[in-house]
Amino acid sequence: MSSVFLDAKNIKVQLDRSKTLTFPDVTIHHDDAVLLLGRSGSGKTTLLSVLAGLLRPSVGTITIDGQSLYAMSSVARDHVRGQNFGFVFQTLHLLPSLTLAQNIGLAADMAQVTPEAGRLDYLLETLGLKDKAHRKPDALSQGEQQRTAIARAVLLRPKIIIADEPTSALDDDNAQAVMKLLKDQAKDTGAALLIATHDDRIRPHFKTIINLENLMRDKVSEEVA
Amino acid sequence: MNALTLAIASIRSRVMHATLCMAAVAAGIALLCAVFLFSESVSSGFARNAKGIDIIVGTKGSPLQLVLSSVYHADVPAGNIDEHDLEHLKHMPQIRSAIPLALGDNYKGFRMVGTTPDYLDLYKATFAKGKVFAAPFETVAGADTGLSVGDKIAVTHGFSADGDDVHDDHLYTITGVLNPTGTVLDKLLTSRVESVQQLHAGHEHHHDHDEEDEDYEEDEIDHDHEADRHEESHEHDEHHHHHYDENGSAFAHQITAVILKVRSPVDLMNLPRKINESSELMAAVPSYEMARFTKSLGIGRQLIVVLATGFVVLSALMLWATLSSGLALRRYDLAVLRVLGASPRRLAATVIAEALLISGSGALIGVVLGHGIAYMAVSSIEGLRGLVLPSVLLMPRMMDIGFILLGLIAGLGAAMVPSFNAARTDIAKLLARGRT
Repeated sequence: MSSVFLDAKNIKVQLDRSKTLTFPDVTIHHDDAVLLLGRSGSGKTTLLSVLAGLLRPSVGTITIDGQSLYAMSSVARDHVRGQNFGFVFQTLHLLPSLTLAQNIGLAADMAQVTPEAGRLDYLLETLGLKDKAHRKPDALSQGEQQRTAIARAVLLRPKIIIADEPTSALDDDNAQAVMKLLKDQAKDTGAALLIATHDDRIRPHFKTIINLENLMRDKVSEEVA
Repeated sequence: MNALTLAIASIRSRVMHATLCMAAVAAGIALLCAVFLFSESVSSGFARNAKGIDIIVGTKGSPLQLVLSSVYHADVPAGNIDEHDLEHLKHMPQIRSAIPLALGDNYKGFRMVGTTPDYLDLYKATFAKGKVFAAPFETVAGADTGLSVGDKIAVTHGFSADGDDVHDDHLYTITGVLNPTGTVLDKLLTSRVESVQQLHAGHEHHHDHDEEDEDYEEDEIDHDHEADRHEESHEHDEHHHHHYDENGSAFAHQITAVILKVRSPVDLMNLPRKINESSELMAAVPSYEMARFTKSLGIGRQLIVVLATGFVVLSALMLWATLSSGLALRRYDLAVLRVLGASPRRLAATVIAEALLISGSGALIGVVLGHGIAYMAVSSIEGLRGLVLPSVLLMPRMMDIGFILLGLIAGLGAAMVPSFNAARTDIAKLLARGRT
């Protein structure tokens, strides 16, 4: 097994005065594929936000390649996120005013790094988006939009691809296709894969599964909407 | 792709809102720019045309009218004065030079001024062609008259081009054409005083009176008093009366006004009062009269400035609202940018860039419009013809930079709160909720 990329220990997030989520420890190695399983509202997205440096936990530490994520400045954290994390969301969050190619390129622009030469063309080619590169997202099919979002996530060869409910809105065939795409791209890029979902259909793709179903809460009776 | 491209993309996704905001900024800036340009060009036009004219002397009446009619050629004169007053003034020790002006005729709206070549020097005029007038009925044409050397013209009595009272018994011959001076001189014809006097001396016999003639008649009535004052110069007086009787008219030895240049600034203070107190003449100081005149216009100007400033402030508020509502629509987009590694500062920068793009282009359009409005205002006001050069108003000015800066400041002000809000976008919460 390769070295540890991400290590989260003793994470607690206070949602409001009465609700605090306590998460299990998460350790992800450089070539891991990890499934974060839990029903809607179980705190999956909250955990992803914490792991990605978007939400400071009340308690606990996260290290990325040995560096403590929340000990660094917010700008440095933004930079680490931009370079090491590739995100795919359930709602894809493509910017409607930009073309497909610009949407993919956005990853590099926002992280303020230059993608390696030919990387964008390679992704457009392998994901079958070359003809549509200059279209706006509105003019694309759901599948094409999905592939655009994945291309954006892997443009900078991130060390981890994080996907939040990438398949839950899709039918079986498409769900399998997206899973294959994500795994292929993770392998091709050399990135770890962390998927948060309530979708049991993709369970067979993973060896490591973190189940958030029985997340410890300070007030067990409290339901998170 | 930087903050600018993102801002452009955002503007393009809401063209209508952006255009409206831009139009509002443009309207405010255009109004401000036009008011400043207009008043600046009018007062500088007044100053330029009165350069070298310390005091203007004419018949008693309104000093402003005297200045307007005889310095700026923008109004009709109230009446005439006796030529002997000119001699009298010339001999006063305080006076460095005195240039006579005899008005009363025009050629296609271009006024014929009976004067001396000194008048041309006052405006530092140079000849494009030909030479200065020497004999009576020789005339020098200003640059805008469109006349050329050798042309023979008949002048019309009065000051408006559409008069039907043509002096076709005496034709003027153009002996010289002047280079443009950027002053009233460009729209004037100049000739010897005698030419104008001679036309009008015979005039009363042939023609009906018009408005200006009535003014001259009043002068005729006053004339006896003037004669009294000149008792000591008896010979002249007799000569003068001789013409008066022969022609049945006072015009033979009348002029309209005298331009005075004094020897010292002290004289500029004392001499007008002295002239006004001790004679039938009236002395006016153009710079003083015009300062009073523009001050009286100042209230209107202030009102427009306040109005225009209100417009700019309003447009900034409008921009603020547009940016805020745009931000509300784009919150997820902004969250995505944060997730992709953008710092809060960059998100603020895109909002500010958007505001500056809209307000800056609005201000630019406003400045161009403002120049156009000032140009149209100046060229449509008959009284300003020749005083202010409209074409100068189309040239860019230093103050334009100020107006564009003002627009940008308005944009910056409008972007302050929205950019702050953009910077503290709560990504985790937004992403958790998903796009709605």
